[in-house]
Amino acid sequence: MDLSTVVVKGDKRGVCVYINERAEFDDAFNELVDKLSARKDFFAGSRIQIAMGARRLTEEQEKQFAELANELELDFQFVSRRLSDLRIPRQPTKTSGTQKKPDLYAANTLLIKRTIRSGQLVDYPHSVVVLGDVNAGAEVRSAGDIVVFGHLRGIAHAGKQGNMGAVVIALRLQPTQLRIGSCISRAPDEVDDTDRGPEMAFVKDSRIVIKPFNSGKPFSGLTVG
Amino acid sequence: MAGKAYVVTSGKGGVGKTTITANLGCGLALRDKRVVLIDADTGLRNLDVVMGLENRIVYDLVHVVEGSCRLNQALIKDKRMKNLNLLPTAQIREKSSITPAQMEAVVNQLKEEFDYILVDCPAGIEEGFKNAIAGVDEALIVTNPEVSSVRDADRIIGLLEAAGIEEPKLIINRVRADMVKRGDMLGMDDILDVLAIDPIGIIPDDENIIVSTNRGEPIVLSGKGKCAQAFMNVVRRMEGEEVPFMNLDHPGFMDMIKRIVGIGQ
Repeated sequence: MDLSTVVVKGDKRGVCVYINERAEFDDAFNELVDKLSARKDFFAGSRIQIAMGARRLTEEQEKQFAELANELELDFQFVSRRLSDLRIPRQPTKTSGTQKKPDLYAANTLLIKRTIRSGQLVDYPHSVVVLGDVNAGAEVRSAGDIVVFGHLRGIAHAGKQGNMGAVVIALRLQPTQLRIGSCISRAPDEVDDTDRGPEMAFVKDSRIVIKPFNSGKPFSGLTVG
Repeated sequence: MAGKAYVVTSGKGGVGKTTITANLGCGLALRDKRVVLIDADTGLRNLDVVMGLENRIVYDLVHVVEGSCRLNQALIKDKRMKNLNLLPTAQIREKSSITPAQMEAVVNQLKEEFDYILVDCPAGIEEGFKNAIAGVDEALIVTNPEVSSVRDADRIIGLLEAAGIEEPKLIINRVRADMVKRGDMLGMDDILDVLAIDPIGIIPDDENIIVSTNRGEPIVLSGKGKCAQAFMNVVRRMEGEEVPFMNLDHPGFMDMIKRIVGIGQ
C-alpha cells in the first residue's frame, strides 16, 4: 500500500498525527507544519499525539518539535503507533439497494441553522445539512452529501474527496455551480426562476443530472448513491 | 440615557449611503432628537458636502483620535438645527489613520451626549468598513434594486453577523415603481427573499434628490414629495413606530386627472 507521509487522524484517544517511518524527516516535518498551521485555530491548545513508529528523534529534531509546539500552542505527546497500523476506511461509494450498511457516517453530519451568505464558506469532512438558504457567492463543500432546506443559489460541492455517489438536495435547487466528486456543472445562462419544488442532483454516467426529489422513492433510478 | 449608534453600510459604492445618512439625521433632528452624524469615509469624505457644512470644518475625526483636539471641537453644529451635529473625517488622510478601537472610543463617548449616532460607512469591506462598524449597536443596510448591490449587501450582512451585529435592517433605495411593475427591476419580495432581513425603508427614485444633494440641503428638510415622506417613515420606524410601507405605485395627481378625463390608463 502506498502510504502518505503525514496523516492527521482523530479517534477516541484524541488527535493523532501519523508520520511515515520511511519518509525523510525534513519532508515529513514540513508537511506536518503545513497541515497543523492550516488549521491552526482548530488545533490550538490541544494535545496531539505524534505516532512515528520506530523512528527516533535527534536532539535537533526534538528541538524543532518543541519550537513548533510553542508556536502553535500545542502539546505534543510521542507514541509508538505507526502509520501502517492505521486502517484507512474505504470511501463509502456504493450501497446497493438490498444490502444497506448502517448509515454511521451520517452521525457526523453538520447541521447549520442559518443562511450562508455571499463570501462565506462551509467546508466539512462529512455531510452538511443547511436549514436556511445558501446565497449566491457562498460555497458549501462536503465530503458527503449536501442537503439544503431552503434556496441553494451558491456553489455546492458534494463528495469533494471524490465520492461520486454523493447527492445534493435542495428545496429550490438553483445553484451557480454544482460539483459532485470530480464532476462539475453550471447553471444555464438563461435565467429560470420557476419553482420546481425539491430537487436532487447526482452523478449518472459521469454527468450531473437533476431530478425532482420524490420522497416516496428518492433514490430510484440512481446507479450509484 | 445612552444613545444608540447605527452604521449605514452597503458594501457597494454609489447606492446612496451618504444621502440616506444625511436625510435620516435631519429627520431625527426634526423630531427633536440629539443627533450626530459621523463620516467614516476618511480620504473620500462626502457627508459634509451633502449636509452643506464643508466650509465649517476645522478639526476632524483624525485630529480627535490623534489627540490634537477635543471631541467637542471637531463637532460641527448644523446650520439649520442646533440638535444636529456632524463629525467630519479627514480628506487628506487614509483609512489606516484610525483604528477600530479608537473609533469605538469616540462612538462610546458620543453615546453619552446624543440620542442617535449615525455612522456613514465607506464602500468596501476593508479597514474603513471595520472602523465604521466599531462600537455601533445596529446596522442599516442600503441596497438598490439590482443584483450586484443585493449581492454585496448579502456579503455585508454576513460580515456584520461575524462581528456580532445581529438583525440589521434593510433600506431599499432608488426604487422605480414603474420598472418593478414591468418586471424590469427587482421587486421588494425578490430582494427580501435573498437577504432574509427585515426592511425598514423603501425610498423611491427621485431626481430631486440630486438637486438637493448638490445644494447641500437634505430633501427631508423640504418636507415635500414621496422621498421626504419615505425618509420620515424610516425615522419613525427607527423610533419604534409601526408605519405601513407606502404604495409607490399610487397614481400621481396628473394620472388621476387623465383617468377621469379618460385619456390613458
